[in-house]
Amino acid sequence: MRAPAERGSVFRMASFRLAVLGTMLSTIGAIIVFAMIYGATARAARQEFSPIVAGDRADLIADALSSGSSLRSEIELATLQERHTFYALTDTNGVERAGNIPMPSNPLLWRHLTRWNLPGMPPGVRAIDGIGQRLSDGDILFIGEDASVFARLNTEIAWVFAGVFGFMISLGLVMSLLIALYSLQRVRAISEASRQIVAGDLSHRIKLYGIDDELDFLTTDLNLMLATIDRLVETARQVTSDIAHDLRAPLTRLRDHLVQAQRRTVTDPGYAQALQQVEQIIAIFAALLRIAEVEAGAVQGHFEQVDLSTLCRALAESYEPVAEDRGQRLTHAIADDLIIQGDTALITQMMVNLIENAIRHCPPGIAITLAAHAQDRVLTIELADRGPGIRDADRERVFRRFVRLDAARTTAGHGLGLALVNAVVGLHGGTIALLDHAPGLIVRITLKLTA
Amino acid sequence: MRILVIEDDPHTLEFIRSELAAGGDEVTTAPDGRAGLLMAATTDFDAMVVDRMLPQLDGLGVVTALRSMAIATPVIFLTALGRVDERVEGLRAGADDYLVKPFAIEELVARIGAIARRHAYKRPATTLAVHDLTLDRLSQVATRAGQRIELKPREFRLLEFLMLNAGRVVTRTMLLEAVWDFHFDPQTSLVESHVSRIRAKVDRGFDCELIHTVWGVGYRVAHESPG
Repeated sequence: MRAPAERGSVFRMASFRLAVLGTMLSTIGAIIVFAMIYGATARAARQEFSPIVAGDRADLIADALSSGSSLRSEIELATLQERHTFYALTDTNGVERAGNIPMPSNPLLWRHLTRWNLPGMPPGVRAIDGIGQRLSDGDILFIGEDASVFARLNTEIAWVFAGVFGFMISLGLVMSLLIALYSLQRVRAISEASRQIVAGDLSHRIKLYGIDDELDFLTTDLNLMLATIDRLVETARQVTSDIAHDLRAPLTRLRDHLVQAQRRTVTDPGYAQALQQVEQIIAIFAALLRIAEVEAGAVQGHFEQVDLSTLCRALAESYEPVAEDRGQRLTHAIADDLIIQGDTALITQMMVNLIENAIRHCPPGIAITLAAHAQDRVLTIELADRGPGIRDADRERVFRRFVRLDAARTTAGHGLGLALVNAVVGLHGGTIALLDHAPGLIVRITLKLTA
Repeated sequence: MRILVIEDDPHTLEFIRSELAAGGDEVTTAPDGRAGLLMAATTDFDAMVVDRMLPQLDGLGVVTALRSMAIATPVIFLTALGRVDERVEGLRAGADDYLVKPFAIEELVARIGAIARRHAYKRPATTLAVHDLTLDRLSQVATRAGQRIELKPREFRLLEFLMLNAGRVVTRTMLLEAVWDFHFDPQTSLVESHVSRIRAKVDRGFDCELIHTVWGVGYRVAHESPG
């Protein structure tokens, strides 16, 4: 299962990604609109100025012809009188002959000059619009009009655009971030509830917000589905428990009759064998009921502080002689202060089942080690042996009820030990893994340490 | 011993009655909680066997009522409810022991013996003795014929429990509950391994055996002169 932190980032939420995409699209839209306005002002300026420029040019040339003075002196005169008209005159070699601005490049086309493309822009002027013409003697006369008003207008429009759109876009981003956070919170609540349900609490339901939005619809349907699953599981569980429970009474009677019968005819060994079989069936039913009870999570209310260090050491020491009698050696390496929240009786039974499994399935001469330590608030218990181990293919299977591997057919047991271990680990929110010890088996259990 | 059995299932009631009677006990029976409480309050018994789920008044109610009347007759609860918290609840109400159905009759007999005896000697003895084996419960020292015997703490508790019930059969399950606090059946010879170690220390090299195996049931510590 992936940790929630990995997948719970708000920046990975679908709604936030959509919001970012929307923001990008509106930014592009704003830029296009601005470009269109900019183009329109440029066209308006040209329409406004081109007749003026043409008139100026005609006046200048006419004046020069009628007064008999040179064009150069007329330009000089004009530059003194006109503050908003600009001139440049160059000869065929490109040498400047008169004017108050330098000759722009490509002067024969309509030009929009700013200080970026005209280095000698007069102070206080932001833009000049104009066009040049080649005169009959080969000189080029460029006349431009002060277009600062249009330039200022453009700047203003740009600022308004930047301001309005910037505000709207950032507002949109903040809003979508908030919406994404809100949905994330609700999705997390749903996901948290699901995880609790996966952990075994089928009675858990997801809280509705009561605002009839799409998440509430989803939640309602999920809750309906959960109720159905809960009912089905409960029925299945009930049936299993009922069978085990209801069969116990007749089995007990059967045993009582056998005991009494055996008392009357002591010599027949068949009674003792039958009695033994009945005892075993009763034990299996008891184990089944216990697993069902643990899996139902019915004992969670009785959790207390369990000192696993003391418990594991005591168990290891108790089982040392048992292993010794079988020619095995049980050793332990258990760290101090391993405290968890749990059910003492169940944890004890879990550890006993594990230790006994190792002892029962290992041949004489084998070393078995029980180790327990904690790191980063996670408690790890490892029971390692050098016995026959479990094949890869069987490692998942052995946790199921009544599964006994072929190698274990000859040993006593009913195949419920690991199923109970698994149920107890699950009840405590831990994990269990069977690892290869090459040769042998390591059973590794992790549990949360009490804070 | 005079024993009162309160149980609503007629089959179980008859089975317990006949088995206890066969062992020489004087058995009185009651089919429901109210009748049982009335008998327990008016007649003196050595021990009571009480089912937890009873008509009229349930087992917990019977025991709680008895204890509030200052009647201290030892009680064993008999029940299908086997969870540890349910055991704790039963013992807290004032029961002396707890046996989960289905049970072996030998188990019930052994437990009745144990609680009745515990009741008879109210003050716990600080020194236990069987023949020439003595156990000092305060200093945790065991000696046999004046020779000190080295026991591990768990072995001491095991021997202590056996000697507290000296002369009586102690079942494997009773030992598992009292010495290990196990409320389930281990699949290995845990009890046997420990008893054999204690035997090696207590009985080996001495003139007579004090720890006896009762086949199929459990153990008994007693001095039995041969023959």
